[in-house]
Amino acid sequence: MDALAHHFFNWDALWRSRTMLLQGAVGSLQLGLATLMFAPLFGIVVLALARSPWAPVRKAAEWFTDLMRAFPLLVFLVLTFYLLLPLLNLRVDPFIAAAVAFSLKHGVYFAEIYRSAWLAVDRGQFQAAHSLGLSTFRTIQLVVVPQVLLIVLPPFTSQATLILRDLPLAFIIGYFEILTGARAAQVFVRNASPLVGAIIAYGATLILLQWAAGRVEAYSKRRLEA
Amino acid sequence: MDRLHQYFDPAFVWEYRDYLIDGLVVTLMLSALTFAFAILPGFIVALGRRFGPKWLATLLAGIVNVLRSVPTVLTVVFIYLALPFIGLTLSAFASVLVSLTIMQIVYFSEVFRGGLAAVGKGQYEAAYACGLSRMIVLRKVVLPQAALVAAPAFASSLVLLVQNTSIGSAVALNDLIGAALTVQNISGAPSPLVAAAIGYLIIILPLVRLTRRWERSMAKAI
Repeated sequence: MDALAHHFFNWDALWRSRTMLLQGAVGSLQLGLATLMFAPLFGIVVLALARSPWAPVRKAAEWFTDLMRAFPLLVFLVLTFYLLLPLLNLRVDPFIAAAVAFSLKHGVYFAEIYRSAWLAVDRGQFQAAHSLGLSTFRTIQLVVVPQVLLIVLPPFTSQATLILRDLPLAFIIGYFEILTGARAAQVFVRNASPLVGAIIAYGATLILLQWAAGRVEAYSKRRLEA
Repeated sequence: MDRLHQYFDPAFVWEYRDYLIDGLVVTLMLSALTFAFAILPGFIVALGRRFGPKWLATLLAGIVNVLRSVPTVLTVVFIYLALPFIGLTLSAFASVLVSLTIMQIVYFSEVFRGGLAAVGKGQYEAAYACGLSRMIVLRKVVLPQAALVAAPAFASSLVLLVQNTSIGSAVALNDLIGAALTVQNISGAPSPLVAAAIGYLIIILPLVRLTRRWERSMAKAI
């Protein structure tokens, strides 16, 4: 029991590794925020391409989506860092590579979320709006978008938890996030407590987010039924 | 064209084929073993959540929710790097296998639970009213319908399974991507990475396409 406490829950070791852990947490947070900004935007692009009037474009979007679903995130991170960015003549930087890879991979899932939300809006709503004399643009603006936003909210939050869960994989291209920080600290203090700390911090954040997602879902359900 | 050749040179990949094939074997073994160890417990957890007493269902739901929140890569690193501090040393392969199996039990149980939940109460009542026993109802009435509903989710959980094996490279396990990274480190050329990526696509892309087709036919059926 003492050994367990000494090796896994050692406050002294945790305190000495605070700078590394904090730096890692900040790294994770930055990457998470960048992904939360760009992935939903990219999702709109993917959806627009998937619904384009030209069949070849639709087909290309479908294959792109399936490719993104097929690549393991870790492999795609490596490909982005060593292949995609150099081929595009972009500056090769772990943060940029990670942000690009996360945004492309998760953007595809956001496109799927938008698509099912669009389908979930009852066709009768369009007809009703038209018979009230609203133009197509006005219909979308006043009738569809408010409903779509409510429908999208719950899957949006659960996708955010998935993004958060994927963040530690960015270590593979040398991005300094919480896992990299914890591993460096573990070597530094020769104690496993930083790793345990990182895991607990992660679990707590994710459970909190899941709880929030549940609340959001309840709210959206209430509003949609009202 | 020269530029592309610089990034993917088949002759170069051929030169290092032994590394890459060994990596492929590790990835396939890891996937197969995880599948074998996880499928039955996953099913049992789903049954426990659906038919078990209330306390068991709540307990299992809690455990599943907590486990879903922990990134697999963290548990792999924890088992590999932290457990040795208390005298429990596992090889890189075993560490990855243990974490992947735990994760996959959770995924499978969610898939099966979703399938079981899709079978309505009326089905049970009708079957019992016909005088069928509990076991027969489960085998002949519930499971066939549940399997049909759960099929697309099951295929995507297999996709996740194979994808997650790539986490092995976090603990220096030479799976397919790990081996490719090693070769890339030795040689400085990105070609092996491309070869590894193609390898993953060959395994996973058919599953993804299959999921898409099943989802479509399900959407039509409903």
